[in-house]
Amino acid sequence: MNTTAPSWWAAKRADWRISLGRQATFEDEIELVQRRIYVLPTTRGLFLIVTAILLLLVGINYQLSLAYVVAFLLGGFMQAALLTSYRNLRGLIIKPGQSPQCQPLENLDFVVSLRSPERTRAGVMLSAQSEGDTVRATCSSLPADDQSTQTLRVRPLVRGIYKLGRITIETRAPYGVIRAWSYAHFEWIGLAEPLPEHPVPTLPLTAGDGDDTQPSAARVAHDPDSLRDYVAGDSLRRVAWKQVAKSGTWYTRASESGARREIDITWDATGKSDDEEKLSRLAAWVLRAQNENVAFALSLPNGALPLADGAQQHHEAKRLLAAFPHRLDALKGLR
Amino acid sequence: MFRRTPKAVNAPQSTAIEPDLRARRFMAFAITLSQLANITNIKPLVAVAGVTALLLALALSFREPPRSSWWRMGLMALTVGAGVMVFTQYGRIVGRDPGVALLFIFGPLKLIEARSSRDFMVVWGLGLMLFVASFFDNLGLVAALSVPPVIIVYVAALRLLDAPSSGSTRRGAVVELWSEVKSAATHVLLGVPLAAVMFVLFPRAAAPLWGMNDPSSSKSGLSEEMRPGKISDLILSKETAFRVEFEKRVPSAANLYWRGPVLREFDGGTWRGGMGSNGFSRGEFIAFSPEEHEREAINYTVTVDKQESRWLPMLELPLAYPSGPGVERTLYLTDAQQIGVRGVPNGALQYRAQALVRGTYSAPQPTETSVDVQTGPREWNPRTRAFAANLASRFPEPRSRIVALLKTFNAEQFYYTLKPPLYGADKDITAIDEFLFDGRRGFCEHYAGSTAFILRASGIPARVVTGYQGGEFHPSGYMIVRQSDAHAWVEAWFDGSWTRIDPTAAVAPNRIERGLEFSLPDAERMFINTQGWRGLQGIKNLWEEANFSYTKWVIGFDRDRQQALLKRMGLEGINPLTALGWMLLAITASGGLMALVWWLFHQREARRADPWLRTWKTLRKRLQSAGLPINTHDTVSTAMARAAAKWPTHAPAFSDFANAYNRSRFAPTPDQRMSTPKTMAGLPSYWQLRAGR
Repeated sequence: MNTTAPSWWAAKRADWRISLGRQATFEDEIELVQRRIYVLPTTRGLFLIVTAILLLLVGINYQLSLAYVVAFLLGGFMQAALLTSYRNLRGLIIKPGQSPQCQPLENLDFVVSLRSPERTRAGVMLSAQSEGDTVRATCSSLPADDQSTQTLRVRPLVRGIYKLGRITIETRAPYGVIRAWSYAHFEWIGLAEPLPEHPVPTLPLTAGDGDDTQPSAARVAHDPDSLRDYVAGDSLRRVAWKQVAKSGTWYTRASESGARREIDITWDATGKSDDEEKLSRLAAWVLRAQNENVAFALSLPNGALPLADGAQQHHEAKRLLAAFPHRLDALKGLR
Repeated sequence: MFRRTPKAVNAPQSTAIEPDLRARRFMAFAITLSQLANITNIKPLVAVAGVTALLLALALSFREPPRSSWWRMGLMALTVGAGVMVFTQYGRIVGRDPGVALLFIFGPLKLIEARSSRDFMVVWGLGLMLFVASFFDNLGLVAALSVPPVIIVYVAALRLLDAPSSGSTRRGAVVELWSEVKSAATHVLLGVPLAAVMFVLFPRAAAPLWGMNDPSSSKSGLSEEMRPGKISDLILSKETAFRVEFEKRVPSAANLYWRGPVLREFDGGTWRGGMGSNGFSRGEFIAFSPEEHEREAINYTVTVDKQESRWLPMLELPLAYPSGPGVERTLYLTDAQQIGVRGVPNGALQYRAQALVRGTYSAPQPTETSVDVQTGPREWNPRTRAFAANLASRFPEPRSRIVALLKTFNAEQFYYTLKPPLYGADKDITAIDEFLFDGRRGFCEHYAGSTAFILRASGIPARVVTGYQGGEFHPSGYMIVRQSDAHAWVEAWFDGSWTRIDPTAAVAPNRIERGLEFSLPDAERMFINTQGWRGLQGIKNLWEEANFSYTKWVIGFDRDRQQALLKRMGLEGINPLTALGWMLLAITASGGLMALVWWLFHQREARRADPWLRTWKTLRKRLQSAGLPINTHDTVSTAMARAAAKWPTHAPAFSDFANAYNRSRFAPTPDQRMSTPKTMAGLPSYWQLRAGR
C-alpha cells in the first residue's frame, strides 16, 4: 500500500478538479467560497472596456484630462461591478434535493435549494448538462437568510438512469458586464421509468380459483372474515371451497377485495426476448397490479422485491425497472 | 419512444431579455444629457436634427416601437440623410467636428431602432462618446462637475437593461428607479479612489498620438482687426481671460503688458494683423546675457479657459517657447515677437513661459516697402498728416518727436472714455482727423491707432500691439487677467530697436498703474465696478479658487506636473513599467477598500436587525464551525438541546439561552429586561467548544 502523501501538485490538481466541477462530490451541500468562483467580463463588459480605452486614447491624443477622468471612472466602476457580481455568488450554499424519479413522458425534476446566509442576491442562474442538453433555472431574487428551491428539469427520452452533470451557478447581475460563475458537481442521478406496454397485458396470475390454464403464479390468501353465507345465484367461482370442505357449510367470498391476490412477477415470465420489451411488459404488470390491488413480488436480474403491495412497493418496483441492469445498491448518486 | 414536443422544455432559453420601455426612456434621458453638453458646439441645423431624433425616440419609448420593414427602411433613409446633411454642413464627413455632429444625430436614431440589449449597448457607447466629445469645446469647471452625474446615469442605464420594471404604481416605479440610480451611484463612488490613483499615475504622453489638424479659423477674442468700438465691447466683460501664477518674481503693475496680436497692416482705416504680415515671417528670441536671466527672468504659468486666438498672450518679452500640454509642437515665433499656435486649441490651455520685462528690443530697420511704414491712401486724414509733417520738421530726432507727441496728448484736452463718439461714420477717410482735432474722446484703440499713424506719417516705423495690460491679484496668490484688461499700445522703431509707447498712459496714467477702473470718469466706472458686488465677492472668490485649482490640477495635469507631483510623493523618475506596478497595487488596494466599505455597511445593517436574532445567528455560526450541524429549519430549542448533548459542560448556558430567546420572542407580555440579550456572555467561546471543554 502506498502510504506516501500525495504531492503538493497532485493535491492542488485535485482541488482544481473539484472546483472546476470535473469530479463529482458526494457532499450534501457546497458553499461557494472564493476559490470556487470565477469572474470574467461578458461581451457587454468587453464593450465597456473597449469604450473606456477609446476614451483614454482620445484623452491622450487631445490632452483632454476630462476624457481621462471618464475613462478611469469607468475603470473604477468595472472593478466595483466585478466585486458586486462576485459577492452575488460568494457564500451561497447550494444543496441537491432527492434523486428524482419520473413516469414515462414526464420530466425529471432535479430540485436544487439555494440558501443565502447573509445577503440578498439577485439574478442567480443555474444550468447543467444532461444527455447533451442544457437545462436552466433562474432565481431572480433571493432574500437574505432565506432559501429558494430551483428545478433543473431534464426531459428523459428513454427509460434509464440520468446523471445530472456539473451545475454551473452563474450571475451577471446587476450590470451584465461581469459574469461570475462557479461549479457544483454532485454525484446525482435521476431515474426514468420504462413505458408500460400498451395495451396492458393481463397479469401473470391464475385469475380466480380453478383457472389453471396459466402457471399457478397467483395465490389467493383467504381471509375468513370476508366470507358470507352462500346465497343461491352466487357464482360458483366465488364459493370458498376449502371452507366448504372443512365445515360442510357453503360460503361465498364477500368481495374481490377481500381476497388479497398475490403474484410473482419475474423476469422470465414475460415471454419476450428483448430486454426493453421485457421491461415494458413488467412495467405494465406492475401498473396493472397497482390498479387491481394485487400484491406482488418482483425478481429481476438486478434485484428482487419481496411480496408486498401498496404505493411504496410500486415505487420500489418501478425504480428497480428504471435502474436495470444496475443494482440499486451499486448505483452512485442516489440521494 | 417519446416524441419531443415542438417547443422542447430543454431548449436553451434566451438568457438576454429585451430591454423594456423603462430602459428605453432612461436611455433617451442619458442621450439627452450628452446632447445638452454639446448643444452649443454644434451647428444649428445639426442640433435641430439631433434633437428631433431624440424627441422621436422619446415619443416611441412610451409604447412598443413599430417594427415593420417599411419603418426600418425609413430609418435607414433618415440615417443616410443625416450623413448627407452633416457633409453639407461641415464639408467633410471624417474629422472631429463632423464626427461629433454624426454622434449627435446617430445616438438617438440608433435608439429608435434598438431592440436587443446589444443595440442598446451601441446607443450607450455612442452617448458616452458624445458626452466626452463635449470636452473638446468645454473644459470648464461646470463641465467637470457634470461628469459624475452623467456617468451615474449611464451606469444606471446598464442596470435597467436587464431589470424589467416591476413597479405597478407610478409611485412604486419612481421608488424603484431611484433605488437603481442610488445603487449605480454607490458603485461609481466606490470606483472613485481607483480612478483618482489611475489619473495621477497613468503616464502622460509628451506628444499627440495622431495629427490634430483641424483647421479652426481664428475666432473672435482679442481681435486681429482694430476699428473703433471693437475693444470697447470687451471692456465691459468681466470674464476671465486667463490666470497667471508667477514663480519667484512678480513684475510691477506698470510692466504687465501681455502681448497679443500685433497689428501691422494699415489700409488707412483698419489695422490688421493677418497671416500676410505675421504668419510666415519667423523671428528669433531676443538674446539676453546670463546675468540678466539670473537677475530678472520671470517664470510664470498661464492658464487660459478658452483660447480662441492664434496668438498666446505672453508677458513682454518672451525668452523661449512656452511649454505645456498640446502646445509645444505647434508653436512658432514671428518677427514681431509674438508666439503663434498652429491650429487654435479652442479650449482650455495651460503653458509655462519665461519673460524678461523690457519695453524695447533691437531689430533691423524696416524697409521702405515694409508693412510697418505704410499709411494708406495719401489723401486720407490730411489734417493729421500735416500735423505729423509739422512734428517731424520741429523734432527731427525720433525720440524727441515721440516725447513731444505724448506731451501733446497729455497737455491738451484729450479724454479717456468708454463711450467715444463715432469717428468717420460714413467712411474711414477722416476718422483719425475727427478724433484728434474734433472729438478728442477715445479709448486705448483710438490713441494707439492714431499714434501709430502719426508716427508712420512722420517717418517712424510703428505698429499697434494689442493684448492685455494689468491684472488683478487674487487672495490665493495668482493673478486674474480679465477681458476688461484688453488694451492696445504702440511699438515704434528708432535707434535700432522697437520700443513700446503707450499713448493711453499719457492721457490716463491711472489706466496703466492702477487699472481701468481708476482711469474712467465716475459715471462710467460703475459699469465695470467689481466692488459693487460685495456680497457676492466671497462666492466669486471661492468659485475662482475652485476653478483655478481645477484648471491647474485636472486640466493642466500634464507630463511635467505629473512628474512634479510624483516627485513630491517620493516616486521621482518613475518609468511607465513601475507606474504599471503601482497601478496594479492600486487596483488591489481599491478592491480591499471596497470590501471594507461593504463590510462596514453590512455591520451597520446587522446592528439594525433584531438583537436576539443577531445573537442567535452569531451563536449558530459559532456552533456550526465548532462542528455541530444545525439546519435552517431547526428551532433554537432543538439546536440548544443538541449542543447541550454534545458539550455537556455548557448545558446550563445553552438551555438558559434557549429559554431567554423563546421568552423574548413568544412571551405573551414582552419583558422589558428581555428586550436585549444578556446571555451571550455566559455562552462558551469558539475555542472552548473546539477544545471540547
